[in-house]
Amino acid sequence: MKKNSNGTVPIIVDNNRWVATDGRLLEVEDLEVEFRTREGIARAINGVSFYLDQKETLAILGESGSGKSVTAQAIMGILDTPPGYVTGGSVKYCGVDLLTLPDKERQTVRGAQISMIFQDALSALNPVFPVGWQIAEMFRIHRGMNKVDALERTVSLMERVRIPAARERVDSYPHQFSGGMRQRIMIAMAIALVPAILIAVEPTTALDVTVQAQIMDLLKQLQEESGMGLILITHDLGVVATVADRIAVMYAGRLVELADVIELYSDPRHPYTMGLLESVPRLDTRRGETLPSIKGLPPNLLAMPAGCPFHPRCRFAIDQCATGSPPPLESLEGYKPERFAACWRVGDSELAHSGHPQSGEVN
Amino acid sequence: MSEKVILQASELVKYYPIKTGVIRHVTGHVRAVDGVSFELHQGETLGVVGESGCGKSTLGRLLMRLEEPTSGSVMFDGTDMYDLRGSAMRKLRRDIQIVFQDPYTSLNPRMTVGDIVGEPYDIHPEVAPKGSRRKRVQELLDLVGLNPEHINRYPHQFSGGQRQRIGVARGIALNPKVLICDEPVSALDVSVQAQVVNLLEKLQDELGLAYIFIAHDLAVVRHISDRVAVMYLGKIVEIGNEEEIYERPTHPYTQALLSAVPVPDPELKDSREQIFLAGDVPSPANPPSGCRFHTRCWRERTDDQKTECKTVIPELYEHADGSGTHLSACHFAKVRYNLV
Amino acid sequence: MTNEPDVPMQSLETSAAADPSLAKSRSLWGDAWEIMRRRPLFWIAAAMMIFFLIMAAFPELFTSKDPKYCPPSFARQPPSRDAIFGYDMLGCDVYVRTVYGARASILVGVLTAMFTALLGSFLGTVAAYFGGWVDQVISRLADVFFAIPLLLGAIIIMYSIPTDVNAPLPIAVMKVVFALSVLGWPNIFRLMRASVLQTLPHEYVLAARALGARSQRIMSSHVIPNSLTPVLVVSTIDLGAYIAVEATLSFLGIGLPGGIISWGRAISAASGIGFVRQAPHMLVFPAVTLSLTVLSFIMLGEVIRDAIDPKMR
Repeated sequence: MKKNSNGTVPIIVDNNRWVATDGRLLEVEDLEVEFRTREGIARAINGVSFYLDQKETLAILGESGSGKSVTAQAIMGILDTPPGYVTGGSVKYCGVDLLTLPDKERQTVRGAQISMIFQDALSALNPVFPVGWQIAEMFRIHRGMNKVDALERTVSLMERVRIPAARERVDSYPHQFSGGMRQRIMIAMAIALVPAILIAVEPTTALDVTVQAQIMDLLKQLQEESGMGLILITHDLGVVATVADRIAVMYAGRLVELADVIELYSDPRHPYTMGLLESVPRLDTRRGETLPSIKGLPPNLLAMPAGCPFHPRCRFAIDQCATGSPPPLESLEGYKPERFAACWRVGDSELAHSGHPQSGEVN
Repeated sequence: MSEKVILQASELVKYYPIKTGVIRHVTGHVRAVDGVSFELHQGETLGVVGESGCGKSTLGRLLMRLEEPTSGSVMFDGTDMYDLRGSAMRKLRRDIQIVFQDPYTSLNPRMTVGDIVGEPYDIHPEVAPKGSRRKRVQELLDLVGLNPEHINRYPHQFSGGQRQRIGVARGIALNPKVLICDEPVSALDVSVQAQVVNLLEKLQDELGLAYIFIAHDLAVVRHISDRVAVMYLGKIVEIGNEEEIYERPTHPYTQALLSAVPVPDPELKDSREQIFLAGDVPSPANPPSGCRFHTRCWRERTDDQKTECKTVIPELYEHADGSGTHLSACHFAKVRYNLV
Repeated sequence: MTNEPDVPMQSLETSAAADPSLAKSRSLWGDAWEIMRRRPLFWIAAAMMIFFLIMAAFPELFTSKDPKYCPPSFARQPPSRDAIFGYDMLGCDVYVRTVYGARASILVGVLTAMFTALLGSFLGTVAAYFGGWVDQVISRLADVFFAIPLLLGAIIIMYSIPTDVNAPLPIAVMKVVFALSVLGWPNIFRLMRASVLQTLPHEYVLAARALGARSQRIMSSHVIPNSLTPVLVVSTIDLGAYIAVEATLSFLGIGLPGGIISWGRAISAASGIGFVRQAPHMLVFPAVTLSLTVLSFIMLGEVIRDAIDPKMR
């Protein structure tokens, strides 16, 4: 046991990994990130809060510009600074705020205990080194293994992510693998040091559906085996439905809804979530049915509308929505696990239960 | 939709040579499109789906004659497109137009929206006299849901969805009969995607366009298509109307593809039976013998049947329970009712 | 389907109106200008450049003295009220000679940059667009010239073409321009070829082909405008370098002939044995002016590059 530099919370270390004594791996509170650009300050994240428990999959769902990827970067501590700055809030891993941790200590967490996979495996892997060498490097640097042992571990890891003929392919280069296989290699690197949390940013977006299914299945199995927490960052409502336990929906840098996956899909409570679910074409929507769509466009982060950022596109908007500060994320009564929504009208009967995907309501 | 066939592709083949070594001699061919035939009727939408590398984008470019085919023909209004030269070909281009995938690279960043949408009239001045062009461009912008006053703006001043509308406006400027849409909504966010799909449907109703809608998103394709062709390694493996393909698919590849599509409904995740395909798509430079899908086929067969799959190339044919236009290229085509 | 629930005309407008970056229509160059004009470095570089260009065009504005008026009695006199830069070893006013020297130096730089840009981008476009053997031939030719070091090559070319010592300014300048252009074009060629190759597969080029546009139109309105930017930047920076090379050649005695007033010749003359210590003003003033000119072009090129680089936005 040792004390961390914040001096408050003791860190229990077991097998190179910090231990979450209460099962709560990650707790993000009031996170704020802004981008200082030539055109002005863009507030990319405004007070985002959520938590992640052991063995849990939390999906952060949002469209481009919603702040979902920035959230991941801020947690990992890989935000591009400048122009991005974390201006408030905390990111507690096993009770320790990573944002106030000295760089050196944070370094021991990043990659080893919280690791990340990206959308584009080809650009995330180094093209001039064999993939096996790149994976083995993780063991040599972080675990001080010798070359032979590291290679053995690499082969077994590649087998674990189901790369066929792993031993023969250890010396191959990234471009010699298909997109799906490269994604597996990146996953292998990410789980090499048995992280407590894996953050997957659009892990299947660049892949074909048949391969997509394989990768999601693999991630799920790895999670079951190791008990790691998974944060899935995506815009794909289909992928999320099949793997997530809870879903956080982001819009224009804010969390607008956070709920259990079944409840979110069967009974969305925020108008944005409703619109999103309605506008996804499904395999059983027939030809000729008009696809309900959300009118308009997401706001420019440099020129946010007053009030709720969604109100210009919202079909339920009332006068209150267009003025003052945005509605806070509030807990809804009677849900277990807790469920949240950020909408002034969340309690109104007109809005409640009107958002079922099959209702076919149209703007 | 009418019965009139407007576009007919027969045995379209496109091989790209693979050159290696210092003297760049040809050592093989990538068989991007390998014997594709279909008909497109006036005012209908034919969806083309398949995974990356199946040749669907090459097919789109062949139909647009941005590429010359290795062999085969495309009949448009009774003439073979590939026989046309010079001004005859240019005239035909008025009738077949294209909308591209990437809203960021499909518009010239140095031209204004007015210049981009008006360029078709510069190239085909006979369509619109010079004086009327600005008005026509503004009408087009209005038609695709953009503010006609934004005619002097540049592409980077618009969002992805708006840019795609500009691309659509350029595509329909010459009043084409066929519009080839190459992944027109895959780069867009979900909420904006629905807007563009609805726009394409509206334009079809108003202008009587026929679409070839190329995409990898099976749900979007069903939504917009009358008929659907499923491609695998350069060949159509199954073709039929939307209901036949999505609810009663007969080819094991189509069945696997449909089962892999994640359904945005968490309550269905355990009731759906997913077919996992082994391995990756083989290289189109060296496709498997016989049925191209046999290396990944999941269907149980006897050894004799497997030998047939390995050696005999299956043709598209009508399945026993089929109803006229539902064709499948599998020796052992069998309906699997798809649960969605 | 008759009713159209979508097409949110109104909301599209409001969202555009709420967005300051959409307030007015701006081209990419318009955007670059907005960025540049907020940078002091741009204004400093531009002011210096314009100052030297005016000096080259109208030296009479800066001095009323005749640069050829060199009374031997003034030789090597240090700076004074009469001649703020002092006199050189022949008794010529260094300030006047520096002002008049701008013309030859800047002319060499501007013309060489122009010729290399024209030749290089023309050949680069042709090679990239036609490909095949055309590309092979031009590229190999470019490789040959590219392999010759600029200064060494220029020395050889200048030596192998005989010059009349009393050649008039245009002919003497063109000879140097020719030598530098022959050696400088492959740089621009490679840049333009790569740039065109990058532009060609863009979907807007395909779209123009799909519309039936002829090659000439595709080149002039789509490919070249979108490929030329790096050439403009590098040519501006190279312009400074050419001025420096001309000075070096003249310093070595093989650039511009003795009868022509240029910075290079002035520096050369001032560097004679013993002069540097005895009369440093002869060297310092033309050398500093030369450096400032080169610097202004290089700075300007880099400011432009930063402004049009989308990664910097």
